[in-house]
Amino acid sequence: MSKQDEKISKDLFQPADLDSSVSEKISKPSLNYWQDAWLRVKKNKAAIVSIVVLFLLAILAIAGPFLNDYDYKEQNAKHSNLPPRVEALENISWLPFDGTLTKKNGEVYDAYELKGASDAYYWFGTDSLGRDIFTRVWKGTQVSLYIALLAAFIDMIIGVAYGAISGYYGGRVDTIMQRIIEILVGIPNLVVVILMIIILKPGIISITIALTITGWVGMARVVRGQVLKYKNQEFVLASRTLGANDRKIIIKHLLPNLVGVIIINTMFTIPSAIFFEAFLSFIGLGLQDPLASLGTLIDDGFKTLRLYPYQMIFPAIIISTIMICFNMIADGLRDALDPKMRD
Amino acid sequence: MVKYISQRIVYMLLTLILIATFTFFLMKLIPGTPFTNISKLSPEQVTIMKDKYGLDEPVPIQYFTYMVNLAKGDLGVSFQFNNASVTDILMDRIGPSAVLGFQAMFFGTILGIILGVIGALRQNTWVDYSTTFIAVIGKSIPSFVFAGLLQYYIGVKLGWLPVAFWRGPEYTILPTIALAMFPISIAARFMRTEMIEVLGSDYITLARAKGASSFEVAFKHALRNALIPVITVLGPLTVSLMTGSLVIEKIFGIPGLGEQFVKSINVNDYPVIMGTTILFAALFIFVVLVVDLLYGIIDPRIRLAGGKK
Repeated sequence: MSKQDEKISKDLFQPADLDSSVSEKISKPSLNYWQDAWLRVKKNKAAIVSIVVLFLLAILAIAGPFLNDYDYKEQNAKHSNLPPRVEALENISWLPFDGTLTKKNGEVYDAYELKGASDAYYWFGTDSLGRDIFTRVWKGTQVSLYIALLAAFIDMIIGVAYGAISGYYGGRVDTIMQRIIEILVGIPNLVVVILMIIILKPGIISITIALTITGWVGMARVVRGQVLKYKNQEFVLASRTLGANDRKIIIKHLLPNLVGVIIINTMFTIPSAIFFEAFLSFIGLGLQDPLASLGTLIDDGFKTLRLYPYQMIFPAIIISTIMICFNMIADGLRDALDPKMRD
Repeated sequence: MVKYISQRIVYMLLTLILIATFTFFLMKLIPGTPFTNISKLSPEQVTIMKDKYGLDEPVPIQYFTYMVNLAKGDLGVSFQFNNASVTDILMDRIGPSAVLGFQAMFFGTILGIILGVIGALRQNTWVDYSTTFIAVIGKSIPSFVFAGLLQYYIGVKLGWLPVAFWRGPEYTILPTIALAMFPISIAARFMRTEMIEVLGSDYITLARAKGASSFEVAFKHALRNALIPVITVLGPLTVSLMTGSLVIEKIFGIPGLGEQFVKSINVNDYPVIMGTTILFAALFIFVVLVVDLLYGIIDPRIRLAGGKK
């Protein structure tokens, strides 16, 4: 070994250029907050799958009612309680789309033939009034998503404003506002929502209002905590020194720092709003016929579950899928946007 | 501590009074009257009825009477069951709800804790992923959907368990499972996070270094500290159980508070609605207070506001 070392002459070596422009070069592209968050969300396969599924469901919710010739409130008494039947799939025996029903004694019969509707195809079947469940399910998904998104949006606006003002001004304003919240938190939202619906009479807007009455409290608390954390930092002081007023400091300097928390919180509000809307329908405080939401469809389906299980199963699958997707996305976003906030 | 508790109790009473007031005035705002077949009654009969239930007095006096009676534990008389006292109706019905709620809370939390611990000990393996998946499912699928499917497939199709009603221990199994799904998933998620955090702390490394077996480390050292924060989820869980009990008692035909509440809503029986609302609120506030106090007692690291610094 040592002999070989001696053989290496000096001219084999070259001086390395110390070029500061090369050594200081940033090898990775610099990422802003959102790019960084997206990188982390991308790693979470469950969240990505959920986003895709939810996107498809949203498209179906918008386009679904137009995919066949039936209207969501069109009744056809002759075609009541028909089981699902789909054109190409009806001959595949293990799929539930062959248009047959099973009697209590185990006898299988073709419901379409019996009702004289051999040439009709109801993809998800029909309900007791002969309305097409496929159309109604997507109409219902539309309504449920609309209520949930609207409620979450209003919660966000009220919660952020309340929390930011309470946290930023502090002192007596904060004390009073927090006492109000403490009392509101003491009231189970179930009770408030039910009482509000009894008074307002069920409808899309009244259900949304009832959901938002206590819904914003969680957001307000989180935002207040974050504002308290940021408001004494140097960048706020600097901005104030430069003459920015309170309003500008809150909107331009504090809120951008809270975007992550606000999004996470809103994403958790949406599934709970969907749940509450369905829950209200189920206890008889939901939308009125012929309007449908996933909750009213499940409620209707539940009444005939023993005879016609398909009437409840389709809306049940869709509401469960939507809830799972929103929860998965919310979890993924929480991990990506704010690693410290895990659970 | 005494100062803290008394402060909390004052808040509790204040909240309750506020809820009672709120409920009372909301009930007064409802359109329509409890006498749904009013057209069939003669004016004299209506006057007699209104007089009997105190509905012809001015609202402030009605409010005052209601609050005084409330303080005595008298919630008025039901409109739908001939003069039955609301307090009696609620007392009759609290039994099944309490049994169901307790069973769901007890089994749900324990099963959830076990799932959470297993998930944390086998972090990022298929075991962990499947427990997390169960937790997400339990949190996502609405309780009434789950209950309906359980009832149909296990009760009707397979016939393993009674479909509905409340006649013995075996009748409680299906509703308990349906109601316990939420506690299971919440406890499992929470427990997993806490356990992972505790397992990463220095004293666990020390216990490992001393040569404690992994079983001993998990159950003797880590579990105890990880369990403490789980107490904090008991408050939100109570609310979820109340919400769940409404639909699940309706589905399984259980003669409990929730089923009564839903029925009363459908027939405008104001006194029962108000009574149940106030009872639910009182229960919730009480549980939250107990949880807060328990938390301070069990974990000496936590000093409540107003306590020794």
